[in-house]
Amino acid sequence: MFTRRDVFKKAGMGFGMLALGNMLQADDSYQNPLAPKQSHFPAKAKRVIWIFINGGPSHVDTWDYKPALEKWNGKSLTEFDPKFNKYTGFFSNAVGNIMKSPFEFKQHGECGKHVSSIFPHLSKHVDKMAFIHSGYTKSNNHAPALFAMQSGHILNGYPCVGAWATYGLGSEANDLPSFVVMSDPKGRGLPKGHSLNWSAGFLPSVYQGTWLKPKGNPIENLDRHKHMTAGAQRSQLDFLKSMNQNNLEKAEFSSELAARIESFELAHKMQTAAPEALDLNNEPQHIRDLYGVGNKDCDHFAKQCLTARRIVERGTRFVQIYSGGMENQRSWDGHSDIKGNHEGFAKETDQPIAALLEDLSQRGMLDDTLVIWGGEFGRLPIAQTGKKPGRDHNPHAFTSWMAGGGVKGGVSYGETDELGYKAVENRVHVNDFHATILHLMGMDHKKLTYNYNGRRFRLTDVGGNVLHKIIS
Amino acid sequence: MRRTKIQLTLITAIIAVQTSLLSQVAPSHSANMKKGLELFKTKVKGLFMDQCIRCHGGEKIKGKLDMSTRAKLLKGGFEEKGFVSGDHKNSFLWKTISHEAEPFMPNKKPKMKQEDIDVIAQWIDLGAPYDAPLVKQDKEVKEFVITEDDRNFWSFLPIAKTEAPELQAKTNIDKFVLAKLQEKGLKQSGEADKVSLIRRLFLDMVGMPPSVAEVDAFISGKVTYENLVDKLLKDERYGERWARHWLDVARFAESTGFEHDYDRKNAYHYRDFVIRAMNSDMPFNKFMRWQIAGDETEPNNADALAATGFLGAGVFPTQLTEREFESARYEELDDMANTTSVAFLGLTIGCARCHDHKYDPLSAKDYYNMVASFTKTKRADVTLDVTPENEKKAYQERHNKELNKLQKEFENTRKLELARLADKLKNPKELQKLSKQNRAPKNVFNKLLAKKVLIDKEKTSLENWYFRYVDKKGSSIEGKLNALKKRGSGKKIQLQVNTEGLPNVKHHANGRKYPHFYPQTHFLDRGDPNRKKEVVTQKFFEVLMRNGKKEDHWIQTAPKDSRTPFSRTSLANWIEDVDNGAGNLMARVIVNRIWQHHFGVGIVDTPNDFGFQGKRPTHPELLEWLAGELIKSGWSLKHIHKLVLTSNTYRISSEGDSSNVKIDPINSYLWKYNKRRVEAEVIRDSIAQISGMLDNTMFGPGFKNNDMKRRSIYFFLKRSHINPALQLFDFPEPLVSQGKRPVTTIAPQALYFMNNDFIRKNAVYLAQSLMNKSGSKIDDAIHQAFKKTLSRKPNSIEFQNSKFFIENQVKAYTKNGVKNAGVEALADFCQSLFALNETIYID
Repeated sequence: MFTRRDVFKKAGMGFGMLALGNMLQADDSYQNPLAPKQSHFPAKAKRVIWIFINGGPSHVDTWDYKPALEKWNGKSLTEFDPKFNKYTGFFSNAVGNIMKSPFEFKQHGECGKHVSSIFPHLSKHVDKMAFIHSGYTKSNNHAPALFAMQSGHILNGYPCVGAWATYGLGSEANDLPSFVVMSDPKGRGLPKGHSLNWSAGFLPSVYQGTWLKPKGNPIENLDRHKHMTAGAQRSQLDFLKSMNQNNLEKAEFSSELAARIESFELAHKMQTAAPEALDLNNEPQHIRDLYGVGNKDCDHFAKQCLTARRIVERGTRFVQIYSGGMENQRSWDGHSDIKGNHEGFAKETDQPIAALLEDLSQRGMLDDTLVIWGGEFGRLPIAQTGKKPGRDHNPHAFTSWMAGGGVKGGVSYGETDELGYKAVENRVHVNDFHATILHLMGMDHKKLTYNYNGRRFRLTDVGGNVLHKIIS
Repeated sequence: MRRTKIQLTLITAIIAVQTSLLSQVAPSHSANMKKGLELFKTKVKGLFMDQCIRCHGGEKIKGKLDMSTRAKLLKGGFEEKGFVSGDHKNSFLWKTISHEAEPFMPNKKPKMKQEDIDVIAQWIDLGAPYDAPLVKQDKEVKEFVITEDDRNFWSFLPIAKTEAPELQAKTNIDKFVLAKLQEKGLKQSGEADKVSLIRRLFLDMVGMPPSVAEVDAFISGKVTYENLVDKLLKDERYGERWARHWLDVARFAESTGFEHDYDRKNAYHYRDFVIRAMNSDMPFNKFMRWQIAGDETEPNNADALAATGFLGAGVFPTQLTEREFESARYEELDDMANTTSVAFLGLTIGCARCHDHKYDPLSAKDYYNMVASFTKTKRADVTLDVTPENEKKAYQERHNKELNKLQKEFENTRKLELARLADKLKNPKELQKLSKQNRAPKNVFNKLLAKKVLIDKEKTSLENWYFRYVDKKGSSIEGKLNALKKRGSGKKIQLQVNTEGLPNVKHHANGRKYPHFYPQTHFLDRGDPNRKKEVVTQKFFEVLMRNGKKEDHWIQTAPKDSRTPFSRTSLANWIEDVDNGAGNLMARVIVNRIWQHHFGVGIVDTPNDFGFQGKRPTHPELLEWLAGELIKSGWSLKHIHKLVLTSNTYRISSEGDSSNVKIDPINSYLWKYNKRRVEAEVIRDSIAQISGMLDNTMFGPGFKNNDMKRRSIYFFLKRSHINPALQLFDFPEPLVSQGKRPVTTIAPQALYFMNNDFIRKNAVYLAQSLMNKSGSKIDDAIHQAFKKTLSRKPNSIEFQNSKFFIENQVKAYTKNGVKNAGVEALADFCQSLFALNETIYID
C-alpha cells in the first residue's frame, strides 16, 4: 500500500501519476480530461490537418471537371432541371444562365484526374488524393453550412469535429494545445460565426479549439511580464509549489489538487515549447522556400501550413487552417468575378498546400496524417449576374478531397450530374464525411457519445456511413 | 462471485456454439422451428408478456416497435429490424436486452437475468417462431399513451409529506442526512475549523472571501455563525453571485450568435432583473411567471418586461435565405419551449420534436402543444417611461427648462446664421458655390442666379436647407432639439421584451419580407417544416395534467383589447400549479439547484434532467421535504438557503474518516463537505476584492474590456468573444441551458496565473498598498497578505519561506536594475498567493 508521502514523492512524474488516485482509493474520481485515451480500434490517421476552403469553393472550377458546360453555356438551368428555382442560391435577383468554367482543365498524374489550371502545384499530387465529388448540405447560407461542416448541425451550440476528436482521444501533446485553429492573417476577418466554428458546444470547454491569434502573441498568457526573468519565475513557481504542497499535506489526498500543482510545471514547459514550435526560423531555408515563405502571393498561408506541420509533429492532433476571411471577395465566396476570386485564392494556397503534402510525405508522416481540403458548400454552374460574372451558393453539390492518413490516392468517389448542379451518385452527407474522419482516427462514430441534458449526443446525430471505398 | 461470472460466460459460449452450428444446417430447419416454438411457449412468451409487451404492442407502441406478432417484431421500429433470424448477435432485440446497444431494455427496469437473455438468444437463433399473437390484433394500439406507471414516476408525483426521522441532530436536514449515513454505515465528519467555515460561507453566498475585519470578528467570537448567515442573506453581493447560477440555466448572453453575432444592447436589463429578484427574494413562482409572461402580468413594470428576456436570450441567425425563413422560426420556438421546460421543470423535450420521447412520457404532441404557447412571441425593443409618480413633476420642469434653453439657442443661432446667408447671397462667387452644394434647391437657386425675387415659400425652403445641410452649428442644434422633443420628459429606459403584437426587431431579411413569425404552429412530421401536419393549439404535458384536469383548467382568456393572447400566462399558470399541474416538479428542480450550489453536487446529480434518464435522488425524502418547505414558505429561496446554511451538514469539515472512502468514495451521502474549485467569476472577483481593485458598482450595461474592474457578471456576454479568462475556467457556452459546470484542471489555467495582465496588475496593486501600509516592514506585509488572501496567519514555515522568497526576488530584480524591486518582489509573492489551491477552493 502506498502512503500519502510516497505519492508526493512521485508528484514530479507528470499526469501519469493520476492513475495512482484509483489505486489508493482516493476520495475523489478526478480524471485529467486531456489524458490520452485508447481509440476504439487502431487509428490510420493519428492527426488531421484540415485546410478549410472558406466561403464555398466552386467545384466546377476546381476539381469537378464538367465538359458539358461548354455545350450548355448560355442556356437556362431550368432547361436542364425544371425544378431549379431562383431561391437555390443566395441572391434570387441575380440568377444568370449556365456558364462554363473560365479555367482550362488538364489531366494529371497516373490517375489522369482533370484539374483546373489554377492549381499548378496541387495538380502534381492528385495521386495522393481521394476526391469526394458528391457532397451535399442542408443550408445555402454560410453560417449554417459552416456549422454543419464543423459539427454536423446547422445550428450553433454543438461541438465541432476537432472538439469531438480531442474528447475521444485526449491529447498527445503535453506542452501544446491538441486542437488548433488558424484564421486569415490578412485582415479579411474570421469565418462567419467566428469562434463558434471551433466551439466545444456542450462538451467541457477544455476541448475547444485554440485559436492562434494572427496578430500579436498567438497564444494567450504565454509571455512573462516585463520584469520577470526566467530565473525569477522559476523561483516563484518553486515557492508556489512548496506552499501548495504544504496545504496538500494537511488535506486528504486529492488527485485534483495534485494535478493542479502539476499543471504549473506543464505550463512552465509550455512557455518555452510553444514559442519554439511556432518559430519558423528554426526551419531550414529549402523547406521555407518549398512552402513559399517570403513569396508575396502566398507568404501568409505558407507560414500557416508550415506551422501546422511543426505542431502536428509535436503532438497536436487536429489543425484547421481557414483560407480567406468573411464572405464575398474576402474569401472563396465568388459572387462577383468567380475568375478573379478563385485565381487569387488559389495563388495564395496552391503552393503551400502542395508543399505540405510533399513535406509530410518526405518525412513519412503522410501515412498517418490526414489532410483535408474542402469548404461548406459548392457553387452553382450558372452565372451570378453582375459586372463580372460570379457564381452563387450551391448546397446540392460540392467537392472535397482527403489525402494521407489511410486514404486511397488517385480515386474519385461519387458524382454530380452533367453540369455539376446536384450530387447524383453515392451522395455524401456531412454525417458521412464526419463518420469517415472519425473512422480514420480510430473511432466508431456511433460509439463516440456524450451525455448531455438527458440525451446521448453524437457528432453524426442519427446518421453517418463511413466511406469505406476511399479507405485503403 | 468471479467464478460464477466465468461459468455463466462459458455456458453462454457453449449455447452460442451449439446454436450457431444448428442454424447453419438447413435440413434441420423444421426441427429448429419446433424446438424454438417449444422455447417460445415455455419461456420466451412469459418473458415478453412480463417485460416487453406493455410498451411494445400492448398498451402502446414505443419507438414504433411492436412485438405482438413475429412479423411485426421482424419489421422493427425506428432503429432497425427487430431481429435477424438465426443470428442473435446482430439482432436489435438481443443487443438492447443484453445492453450491447442503446436503448437499454427493458426500459426503466433492471437488466433481465442473464439466463433469460440467453434463452431469448437461443430462440432467435432457432428462427424466433411465435405460436400465436401476444395481443389480440383486433384493436388499434396507440403509439403513445400515458400509463399510471408513467404518472407515478417519482418526479411527477405530488410532493410526499415527509417527516424528518426521529434522530438526535440539530436540524431537520441533519436528521435526513444522518439517517442515510447510518443506513450506509458512514460516519460524518466534525465541524470545520472557523477559517474554513467563514470562507466557505462567503465564497458560496457572495462569491468572494471575507474581509480581514470580518474574519477577526468571527474568530474572536464577537460575531456568531448565525449572525454571519443573517448578514450574508441581506448582502447585495448575494444577488450578483446567485444570479450567475441562474444565467447559466437561462443560456443568457447579449448577442445574436450565428454569422454576425450582433450585440443585443438592451439585453442586460434581464441580468439586472435576475440580480434584483435574488436580492429581494422574489417568490420563485413569480420569478418564473415574470420570465415567461411578465409583460402580461405587469405591463408597466420595467423589471417584469425585462424578465421576458429569458425567452429571447437564445441565438438567432441574422442572415436568412428564403428557404430558411420558416425553419429558423421553428428553431426559435424550440429554443423558447425547450429552455422553459429544462430550466423550470428539468425536462428535456427537444427529442420530442422529431419523435415521441424515447425515455420520458413526453410525446411529440406534447412538444408541439407546448411550442404553441409561443406561436407569435417575438423579441421587440421598447422604450418605457419609468418615472416615479412623485418625481414626474420635477422631471417635467427640468425638461421644460432644457427645452426652453435649447429653443432659445436654436432661434439665436438661426438668426445669426441666416444673416450670414443673406451676406453670402449678395456675393456672386459665394452664390455660385452655394448653388452647387448638396441638396441645394435647384429652382430657388435658378431664380437667384437669374436675379429674380423669391416668394416667401421659396425663401423659407432656402433657409431651412441652409440651416440643416450647410451650416454645421445649425444641423447639430436642430438635431439636439428634435431628439429632446422626441424623448419627452421623464426617465426612460430601452428594453428588449419578448411579447406579441409589437413591431419586429430589425433583421437583414426584412427587405425580403421575412415574416418573423407565422400565425399558426403546425405539428411537424420528424420535425421537418416541409412536412407540416395539423395546426396545433396550446396544451400542456399530459403526464403533468393531474386529477383529470384538461388544459382549459389553466388556459386564461386574454382580457378585452389585450395586445397579447395570454397563452404564456396560461403556461405559467400550469407550471406553478402544485395541486394539478407541474408545480411540484418545479419546486423539486429549484431546491435541487440550490442544494447543488451549496454542496457542489445536487441531491439529483442531473439538475437539468429529472426524467427517466436522469439520476435518482440520493436523499429522496430530504428533497421532498425541502420542496415542501419551499412551497410552504411562499416559494422563498432565502428560506431554503437559511435552512441549509444553519444545518450542521453544511458546517462539517472537508476532511473525513478514511474508512468512509471504501463505502462511499464520491461522497454521495455527505459524510464530509465537498472541497471544490470555485467558478471562473469567483476566481476573478476574489482576486480583485483581495487586492482592493474591485469596483463594487452594481447594474448597468456590460463591459467588453477584459480589464474592467467590476464584478465578472458585468462582462458583456458576446457569444463569439466570451472573456478568455472566464472560458479558461469552464465558463459554459451560453447556447443552451447549462445546469452544471464541469471543473477542469489544465496547464493554460496555470499560465493565466503566471502571466496574465489582470492577475499581475492586481498583484502589483496589492503589493503597493501593503508597502504603503507597512512601510518597508516585510514581516507585516507577509502577515497582511496572508490574512487578506487566505483569511489566516502564515505558520512559521510558511512565513520563513515567504520571507526568503521575497528577499531573493528583491536581490534578483535589483541586480537586473529594476526600479521598484521591492514592489515587484512583493507582487511576485502576492501573485503566488492568488494562485494557491487554498485560495481558489471552497474548503
